[in-house]
Amino acid sequence: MASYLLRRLFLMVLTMMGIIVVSFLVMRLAPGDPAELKYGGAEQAAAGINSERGTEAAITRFREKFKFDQPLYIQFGYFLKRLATGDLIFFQREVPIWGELWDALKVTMLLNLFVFVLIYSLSIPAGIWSAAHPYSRSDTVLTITLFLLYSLPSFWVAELMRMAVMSEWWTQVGVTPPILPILGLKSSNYMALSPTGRFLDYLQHIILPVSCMTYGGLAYISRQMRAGMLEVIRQDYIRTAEAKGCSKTRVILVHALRNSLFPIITLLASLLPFLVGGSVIIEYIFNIPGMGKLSYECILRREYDFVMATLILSAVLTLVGILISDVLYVLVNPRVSFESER
Amino acid sequence: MPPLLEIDGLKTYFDTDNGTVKAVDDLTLQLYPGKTLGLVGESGSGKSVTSLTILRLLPDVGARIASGRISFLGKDLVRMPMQEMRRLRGKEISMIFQEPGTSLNPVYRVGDQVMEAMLLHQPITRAEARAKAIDLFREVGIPDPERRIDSYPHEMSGGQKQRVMIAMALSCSPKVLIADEPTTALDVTIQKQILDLIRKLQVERQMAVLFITHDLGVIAEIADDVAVMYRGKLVEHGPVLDIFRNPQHPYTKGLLACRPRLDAVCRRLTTVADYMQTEVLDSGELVITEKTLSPERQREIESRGRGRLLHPAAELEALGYPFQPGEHPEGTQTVAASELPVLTVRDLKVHFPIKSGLFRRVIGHVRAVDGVSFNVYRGQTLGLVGESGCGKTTTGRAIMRLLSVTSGSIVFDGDDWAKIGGARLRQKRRKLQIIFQDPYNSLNPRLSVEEMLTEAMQVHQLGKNANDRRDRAAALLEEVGLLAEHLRRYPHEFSGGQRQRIGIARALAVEPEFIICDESVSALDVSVQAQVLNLLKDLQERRGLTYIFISHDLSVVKFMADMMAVMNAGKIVEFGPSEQIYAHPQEEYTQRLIDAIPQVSLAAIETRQAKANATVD
Repeated sequence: MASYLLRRLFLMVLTMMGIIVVSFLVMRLAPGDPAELKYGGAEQAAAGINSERGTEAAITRFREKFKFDQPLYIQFGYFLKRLATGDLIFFQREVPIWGELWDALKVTMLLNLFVFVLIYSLSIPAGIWSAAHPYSRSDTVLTITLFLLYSLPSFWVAELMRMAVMSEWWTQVGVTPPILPILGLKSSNYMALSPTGRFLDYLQHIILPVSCMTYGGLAYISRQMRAGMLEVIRQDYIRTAEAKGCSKTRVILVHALRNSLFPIITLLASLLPFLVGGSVIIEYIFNIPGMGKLSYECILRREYDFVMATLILSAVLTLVGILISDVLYVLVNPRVSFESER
Repeated sequence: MPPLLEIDGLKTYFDTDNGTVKAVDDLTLQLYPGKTLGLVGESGSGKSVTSLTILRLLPDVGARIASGRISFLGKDLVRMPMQEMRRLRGKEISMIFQEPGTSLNPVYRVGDQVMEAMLLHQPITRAEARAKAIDLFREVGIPDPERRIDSYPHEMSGGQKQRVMIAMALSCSPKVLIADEPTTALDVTIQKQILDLIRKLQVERQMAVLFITHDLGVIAEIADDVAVMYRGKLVEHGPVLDIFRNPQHPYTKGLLACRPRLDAVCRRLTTVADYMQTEVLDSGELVITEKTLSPERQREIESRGRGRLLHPAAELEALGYPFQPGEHPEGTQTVAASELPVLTVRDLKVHFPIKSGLFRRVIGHVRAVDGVSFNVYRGQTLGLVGESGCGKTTTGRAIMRLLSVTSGSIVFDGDDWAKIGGARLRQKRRKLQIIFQDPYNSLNPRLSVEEMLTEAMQVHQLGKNANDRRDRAAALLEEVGLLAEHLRRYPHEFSGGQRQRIGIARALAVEPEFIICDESVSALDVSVQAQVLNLLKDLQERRGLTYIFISHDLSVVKFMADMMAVMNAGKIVEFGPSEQIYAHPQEEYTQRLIDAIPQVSLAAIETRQAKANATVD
């Protein structure tokens, strides 16, 4: 197994290099650079906030300082050097990206952790239930509900939810709307709350965004689980288990479940990068200071370093996710071994 | 002695979109302790449904027990609550299945799967169950049971997996054992071992065994009583000797006749259709009319076609089988001395590397084929026979160029396979076709029969246009015994035998000269197997085809082949005229293959029964 992991790590390094080159080039395809946006942007000109605005000299000085006037390969080398020394910055403000990156990352990761746990803890039992009672009334209802959910766009659902919690109807039952916070992650009195109070406050704030981010994945994964389980239930060894005298519950949970987890494990790999990616739309709608919102703003501001850093981070997580799911696959499936490719 | 299990007027029906299928229709049978009842029939006869009905393992949707009783120790299994049924399953009545490969859960160790049944039904600890499982493994003949108990199913051979299944079935000392085609998926040599094992355990434990099979040869080896089912109905029932001595029903007579016999020389096999005619009335009722088959007529059927076509006399002499006309069956010929072989294989080696470690270094080789040489002449059938893993299939694939050869040469029709390419290779490839083993997986389910047959013609630019190709495809279907109107159908609409005919038609579509039949009849019922074997022989004579016929069953190879090569561990251990190899095997391995074939002789049954009685006393 050690030699397998070493070989995989070596391949991962090669893949990473490819990803860095391609994403560097792709980002430079977009017109404009940080200098132009800092000094020449129409917005700043109108607002008149910057004392050096519009001057050719300032732009040239800025470009020289960060080598934007050099050929691409020099710029790439300069980027690699700064990446190696951890010297990545926001160009417009000339401050390191790490503090803000870490803050946004914490927000998004915590939020997504709730989403993941919810998706898996609801969809696996739902899929198992559906597969154990295929084409029953409960299965049909579940199927239709999940398909409906899967087809609803999340920004629309988010708006509906906001409207629902703010509805004047609540006053009729004696509650003042909004019944749930609809913006941000903290109430204005957050600092005054006890630790438990802070946690409850956080939970209240994430109910809406987490629901919006959960239902799509829930529908998808539970369908996968149901399909995988139904496939397994038709196998001969399930009949063997029944002929042995196993109860239906035992047949499903012991004999069928482990075999039907394989496709779900493969899906895990594709989910890890979402952990840091965040959802641009949901974070915008609910005004959450997470990775999705910050990355989007940085792309618009041509903050190359920050965008590259997030791309590299999610690339690494994708590769690690694939590795983890491959290793898990071997662990749950004795037929596959690390040495099996002959 | 009262029966242990009594099936009385059982009717199991399946409700489908096209109406009700009477899978089991009014079946009455009894199982006695210490006795084996053989239940015989072809696919779709209702024999497996019967076994599933006893354990109430029928699918939830569509299947229902319309009427009847199954009483076991005074209780009616049909009306028993499911809870109680589960307590019987695996404890009082247990079952082994056809496919040992898929009947064990791939993600659990075999020992745990055997222990599970014990822990479910008996108040014992895990340690006790483990000790018992090791004893059981020893009893069913798994070597090194202390270690093998922790193996996963994929680490065991098919025969060993079936032994695990048997150990699992026996783990709670059941009173009734149901064996549903337990040896059909196995090589004949392994089949013999498993039959011996079941027979031994049945006598020692005095169980009642319901043994289900499509093969009367297997019945002769194991059963005390025989019940024959045809289309859901019981058509014959009696002690095994009576059935073999004096079969009453035409279907039983047909089944007895259609297995290739080792002791007789016949060029064609009689089939069930020679003994009876079936007709379905408008009311849905099935009418069976017996056809009388006189001994003369039977001889006439069996002597249709050409005699054996052996290698040229000089080559036979070199092989150690000098040609003396008197020693061979009538009609045996040799290839003219001037003729060149159509296929020459010289010192063929196919090795698969085993890689390991960080840099995937090659640490060894699996020598699948290790120095095989032979000639095949135009119009001949060469039989390749041996157990699974002996290299016979790899040899066939190497000849087809489906895998790369390590060393050696294959010369087909004057061209060295290794030296030609491009258009010439394509043109040669057309002449060489293959028919696979599994009629279920070797046809693309999304293609209609017409698309399947015309696709290959189109690739090789045969036929003037689409219409012409369709006409050719229709003619092919009729040639293989199907109907032209089947062209628009899809594989799932056909039975196993019909699918194999489609496979044959597909191979013939490009007008080949040489066909490799890789276990092409092994997945078929014996009654269907006989028809397909006859068809292959008819086609060979009509079209002047040359065959390599690969099988693990020496009786089938002996029926089909002019010359026979016995393979073991990648090498040919014996090569010669098939009649002579059978009559005077030189190698112990060949003798073992011959001994493994079930014997359908009254004397053999009597000897077996006498032995069993002696054990009981």
